[in-house]
Amino acid sequence: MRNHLGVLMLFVAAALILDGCARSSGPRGGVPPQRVDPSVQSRGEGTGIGSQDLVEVTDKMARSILSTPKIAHASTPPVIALLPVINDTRFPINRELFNRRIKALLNTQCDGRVYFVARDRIESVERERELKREGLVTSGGEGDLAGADFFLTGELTGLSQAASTGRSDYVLYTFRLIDAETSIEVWENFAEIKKEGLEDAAYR
Amino acid sequence: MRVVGSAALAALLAAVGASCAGTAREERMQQRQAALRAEVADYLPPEDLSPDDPLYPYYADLTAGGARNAVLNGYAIAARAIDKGRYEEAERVLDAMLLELEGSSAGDKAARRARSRFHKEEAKRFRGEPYEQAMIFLLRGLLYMREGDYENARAAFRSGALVDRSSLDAPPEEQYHDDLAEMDYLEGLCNLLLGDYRAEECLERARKNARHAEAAPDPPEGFNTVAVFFSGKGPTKYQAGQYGEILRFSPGDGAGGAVELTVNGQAMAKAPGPLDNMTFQATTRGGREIDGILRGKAIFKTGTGVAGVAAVATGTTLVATQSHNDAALGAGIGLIVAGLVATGISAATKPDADIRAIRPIPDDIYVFPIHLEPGESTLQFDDRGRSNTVERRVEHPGDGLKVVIVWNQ
Repeated sequence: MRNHLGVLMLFVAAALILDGCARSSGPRGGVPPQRVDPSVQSRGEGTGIGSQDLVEVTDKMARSILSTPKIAHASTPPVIALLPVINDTRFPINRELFNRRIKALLNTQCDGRVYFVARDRIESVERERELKREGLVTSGGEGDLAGADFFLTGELTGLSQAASTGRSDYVLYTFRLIDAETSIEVWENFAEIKKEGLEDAAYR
Repeated sequence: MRVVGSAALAALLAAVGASCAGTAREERMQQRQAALRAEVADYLPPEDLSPDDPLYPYYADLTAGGARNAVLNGYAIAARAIDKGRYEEAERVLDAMLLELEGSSAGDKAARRARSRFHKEEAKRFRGEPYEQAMIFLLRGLLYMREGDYENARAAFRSGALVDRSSLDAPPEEQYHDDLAEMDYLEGLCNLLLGDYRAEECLERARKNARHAEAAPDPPEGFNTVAVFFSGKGPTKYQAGQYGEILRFSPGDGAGGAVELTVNGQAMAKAPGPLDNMTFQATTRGGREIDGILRGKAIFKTGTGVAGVAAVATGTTLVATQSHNDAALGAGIGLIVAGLVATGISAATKPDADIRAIRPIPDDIYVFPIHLEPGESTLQFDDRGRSNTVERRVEHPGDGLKVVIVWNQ
């Protein structure tokens, strides 16, 4: 009886050991990188400016610009130049993102109702023009460098509060089109986003 | 014969088991190392560093520590990268740290573990105390300034100031929030460089919050250099209380004395004392909510320990004296078992406060906005409090802002 019990126990031990071997060879934990919707809040996102805010704000501004009479009823497509967005919040950000997305939305959705001047590439354009005029490269016809009818710019302004009861951040996004001749603001719109969060007690 | 057979089978199984266990352990270790490295991927350079690189040991610490210690180890890399002029590297690491600091900890499993009775506070992902977080924002802001990105620099200094406001609802005697004068002063300098009308407001706030009012002078017209002087070693953390459940700070060794800055032998600026002091910031924050949790753990540890010992003692007495009484004997054995369980729970309770701390951290902070002529200059910081002089050669290109960070530890 005792011998049988001993052998049985040995087999149980062997089974447990081999089970451990089998289990340890599999992948453990972790989530591989995956594509997610940029208009959805990120996992673990704080109260700062996230991709969700960027998408929401720029969508709203692009729609609003397209419906403004100066753009919608212009006889010739107005030319827009970008001015840097001013970041007056407590969040270091890549401020170019907002203007770039608004420009891309307008260019892809407005069907040629507005043009943008590529001032950020002006040196390359000037060099190419020189090459054409010197006859070193072919030319499809000469033209003047386009001047801007409007400047598109924006400002991000923040109001932040923190206490051990939580943290809140309010950001006001204002964008405007400025007449490049008269300095009159022909269009302005805004969006405001407030976020509140409470840290885990381990950090308070 | 049967005995020999069983022994042979047992030996065979033991050998197979040992081999499997060894392989499994190795695999687990490799997987663990890979997982820890993946957790800090944002901090790592695009290409592997040579073991001869002076920052190599710090990156080794980073990958070994994983996400739990990423901010702690990342700071060590960033501070040394700045010192060696490897600014892009420092920016990358600091940005990764800021993502951690600005992210939400709500629902974080490691934080939940840190609150549980059976894990130490240091089970949580390190974020540092407010004065440590302020240092991270300060360094990032200075790097933005160095790049001429004054808006993002201003943003970083504002965030740095905000971490000190977390004790807003502390008792009145502990309310020293929002008094990081270096953040106000540097925000004021950014506003001046941006032509923002609120510059004076920030400088005024800095003067009000400065440890020495004259440590925040009006910047000279057309200043093109910001020299930041870190003097002394900052506060150190230690555990107090019966079980180490109380976080305490030993003062840093900053002397709080005057610092005189000379450029090419000419007196340029003088501060009679520091703009800010990290020991002051560390010790005036007010209570933390986690302190109450740790106190609760300590009380639980004491309670279960005392109850366990008492139960074992009572049970032993019953067993020894009432062996003829079955009911009493049963109760005695039950008490011994319950007492041992309670003692075990007490031993497993971990109220230890988290004393991980970023290094290096200064004690006294001085900021000097000055004007340098284009070309090479020699800056001498005469630290009267520490009775020594630190020299730094600076090449100013003539345009833009130069940021000089000098440590005197």
